[in-house]
Amino acid sequence: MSEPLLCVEGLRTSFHLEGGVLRAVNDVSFALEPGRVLGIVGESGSGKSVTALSILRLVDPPGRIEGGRIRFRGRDLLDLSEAEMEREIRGDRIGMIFQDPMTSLNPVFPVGVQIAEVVEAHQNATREESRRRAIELLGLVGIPHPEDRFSDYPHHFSGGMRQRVLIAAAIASQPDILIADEPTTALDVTIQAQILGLLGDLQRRFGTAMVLITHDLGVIATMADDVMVMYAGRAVEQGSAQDVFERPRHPYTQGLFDSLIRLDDSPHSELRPIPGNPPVPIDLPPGCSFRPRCRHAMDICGLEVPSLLPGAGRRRVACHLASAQPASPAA
Amino acid sequence: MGWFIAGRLLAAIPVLFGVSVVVFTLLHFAPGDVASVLAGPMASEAIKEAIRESLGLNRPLPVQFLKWLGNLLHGDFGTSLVYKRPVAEFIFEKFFNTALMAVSGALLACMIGITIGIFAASKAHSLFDRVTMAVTMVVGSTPLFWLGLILVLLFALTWRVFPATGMTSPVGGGGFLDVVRHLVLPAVAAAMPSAAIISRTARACMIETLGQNYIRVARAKGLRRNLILRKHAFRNALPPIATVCGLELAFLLTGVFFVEVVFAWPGLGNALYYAIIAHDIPTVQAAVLLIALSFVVINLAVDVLNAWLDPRIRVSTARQGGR
Amino acid sequence: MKGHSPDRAIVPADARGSASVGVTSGTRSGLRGLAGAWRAYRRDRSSLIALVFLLMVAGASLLAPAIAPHDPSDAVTFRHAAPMSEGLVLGADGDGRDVLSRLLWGGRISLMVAVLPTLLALALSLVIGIAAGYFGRWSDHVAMRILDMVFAFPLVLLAIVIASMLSPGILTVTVAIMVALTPYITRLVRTATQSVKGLPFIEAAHAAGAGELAIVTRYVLPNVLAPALVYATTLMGFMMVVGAGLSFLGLGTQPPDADWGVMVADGRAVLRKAPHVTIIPGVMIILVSLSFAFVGDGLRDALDPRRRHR
Ligand SMILES: Nc1ncnc2c1ncn2[C@@H]1O[C@H](COP(=O)(O)OP(=O)(O)O)[C@@H](O)[C@H]1O
Ligand SMILES: [Mg+2]
Repeated sequence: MSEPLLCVEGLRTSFHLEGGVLRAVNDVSFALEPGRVLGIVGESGSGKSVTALSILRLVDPPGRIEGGRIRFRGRDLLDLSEAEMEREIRGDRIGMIFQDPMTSLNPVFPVGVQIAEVVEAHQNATREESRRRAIELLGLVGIPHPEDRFSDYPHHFSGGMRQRVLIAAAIASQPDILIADEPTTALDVTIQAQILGLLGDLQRRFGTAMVLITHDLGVIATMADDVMVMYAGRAVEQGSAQDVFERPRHPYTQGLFDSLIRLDDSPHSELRPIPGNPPVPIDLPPGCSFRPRCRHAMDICGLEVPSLLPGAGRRRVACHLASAQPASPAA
Repeated sequence: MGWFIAGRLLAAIPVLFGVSVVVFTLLHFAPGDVASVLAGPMASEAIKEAIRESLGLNRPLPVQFLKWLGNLLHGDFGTSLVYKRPVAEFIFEKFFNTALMAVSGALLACMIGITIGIFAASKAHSLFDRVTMAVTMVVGSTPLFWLGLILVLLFALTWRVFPATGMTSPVGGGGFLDVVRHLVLPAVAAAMPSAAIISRTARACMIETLGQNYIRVARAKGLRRNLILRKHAFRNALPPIATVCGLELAFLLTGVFFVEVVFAWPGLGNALYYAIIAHDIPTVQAAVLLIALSFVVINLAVDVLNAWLDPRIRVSTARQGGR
Repeated sequence: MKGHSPDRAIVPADARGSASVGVTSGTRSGLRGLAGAWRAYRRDRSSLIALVFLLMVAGASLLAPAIAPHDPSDAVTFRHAAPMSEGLVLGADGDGRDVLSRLLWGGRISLMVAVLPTLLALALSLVIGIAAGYFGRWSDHVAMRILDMVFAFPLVLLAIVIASMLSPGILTVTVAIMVALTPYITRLVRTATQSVKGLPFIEAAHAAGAGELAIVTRYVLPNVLAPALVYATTLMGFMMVVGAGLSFLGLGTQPPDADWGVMVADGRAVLRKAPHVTIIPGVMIILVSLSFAFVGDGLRDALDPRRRHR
């Protein structure tokens, strides 16, 4: 086991809204090792995006990072100045791509410019150098005739092509980490596979570590080394992808897999399997947030939030059942 | 792009024709009989009749209109009833003076308004934002003539920094500095309400743009905050801001009417004002036509500018043209 | 074609917010939920203060004959440009007339010039706009081409030209503003009508056998009225400024009557000696015009069912 590249400890991010404090990320910890892929899964609203944005400190008011540490190469990102974040972290050491490629490119600038500006910002390159580098990157992400497409505007590109451009901009500085927040959710199914393939290729080729956010378990199965399952702002289960897939221990994770088996004919099933909806994390009642939907709910689940207990290896589960019987609870 | 401009130009032609019809008919029914004005109060009915005859005033309306329009196209605006000179001889100088003030007012308004707007948007809901927005709201509803008087009171009468009136002819006269000295107060008066409105629009558009996904992407790319504001956000917020700036320039063409009267600026507004009082119909017609014409041209220019700012229009039509 | 300029009147709204048409989710009840609207309106403090202020100014102006301390046109030589004092709360103007009394009496005219022509234009616009937007086709074409032409004239210029054609007076200002304003409100009514026309309940009414006239008065009008009324309210403040401007130029109110624009013009002669004569009516114009804008804003939020429950 190598030294982790990124180590998030006890991260808390909240939104101070009129109706109360929304705890979007509540005491989340995880580690990312060089060259590995961490998958984060969870239903919509579980706090995946806010977790990712918190790493780059891109959460805007009324949102605020209220606690925890984000250690990256020996420094806590929460201690850096805004200028240091801009200069040394965002787009430089940590790149990020987002869910909606249709609105993520600025419509009034040619796509090449939007890649070249990253090179200019971080590598001290001249205009001509950054232009050449941008063309090279366009080729790298699989855009045909990159030379000609440099000065085309976003409206000349399809969704998939735009996401390629955004990937090119995110890796322009050869970052150590690439965060991909549901990079394929907005795309056609056929295109989804291409983009994921591209991400996998690039990740292996450059040895980039990746945080891959998705609500598609199939994607996790094929691409992730490690998994974190999120529910209502908390991590409920963590471990290596193989472990978690073979022996899911949290009833929520089990529910996810059960539904996947039931809907086996569609491999890219969305996560809407367990009856009921996840709560919005404002003024949550005490206890486990999953309790209302849990098949195994017990008295204690309404009293105490289960802590994320370490299991064998890197395995961690936040469930009273798991702490009671370390073996498989569902059997 | 070329086609776009051609289309807009074509569409402006019927509007301009309509404008001339409106101006002609409106003023045809205006009070005051041209013949009596020309002939003087003591003239007999026969003399008036003769004048009408010579000016073609007793022919059918459409004939009169066509003749008037034909003269217009030859640069003949008729003869001023007050100055007894061809209107064309003096109206263009007046127009230039008005344009000088409207354009300097509008430029001032754009610079101040856009700067304030961007700054307020970048610090939305801060103290600075709230204070400036309250001030712009008040200034935006302030009547120009009153604002002009207040500036005169403060800067001309109390502190004696700038002259309140006394501009006779910007061209020739006391030279560039003299013109600037006389221009400051009226231009500032004209600019202030427009600056207020532009700043509110600029702020709103910038805030909207700053909420777009591509701004978050730009931040994730590690671009400097300033660069994001100036390049990514402003460039996208620009079309509506340019539209408002154009509207304000157009507004100032008539808004300076009041300012000209307050500061005795020798412009079109002043000429129109005295022509109205004296029932000098040809001068009124010429002044109104010139203002309406510039109004149409400004609107056209804003349309074209906005089309050019939008790569979806600019680039795709350019490509079609190229192939 | 973008015309100038009531778009400009919407100072407090973000950009041209108020001019946009808020009829995407029409209701059958339209304006009927007045109690709910009032409750929503009350919640916005600045609109409420503006409304109270407007009502106070209107009340004081209406009561001018009873409460004005002096005769507004009583020129008393020894009071020439008198400063504020006990008997003359706001001083006297260059002709020795009591400023407070003139302000109260002038408020009647200034308020009337702000409200009356706008309401008349609103009524006219509802007829033209609904006819064009609902019955469409050629009436729409004709109406729109005419409007295009009118939009080629800045509103203030049009008002000035119309005012100059008639003999100066309050009636002239009213007519001038009404005519100049109608195209702008008509454009909004037409757009609103077109969007209501496509909503399902209109089709349902058709299917139920309702006549065109009944549909227009029962379903179209109530839904179009709300945004048009909001727009008109916002315009009232701007029209107060325009009306005062016409009077300032001598094209509006004539002596012995005086509105606030005339009062500003009168102040010019003693600007140095007695600046209050100019300042006071100008401040009133600004305050009242701002209040109309705030009331318009509050009305918009209160009448918009989507915003009401925030
Ligand atoms: N800008 C915001 N303002 C208020 N609440 C927000 C904002 N962004 C996210 N949230 C809330 O934070 C929670 C987590 O959101 P998010 O991280 O986007 O979920 P996910 O990406 O897992 O779908 C949700 O309840 C969401 O409503
Ligand atoms: Mg998300």
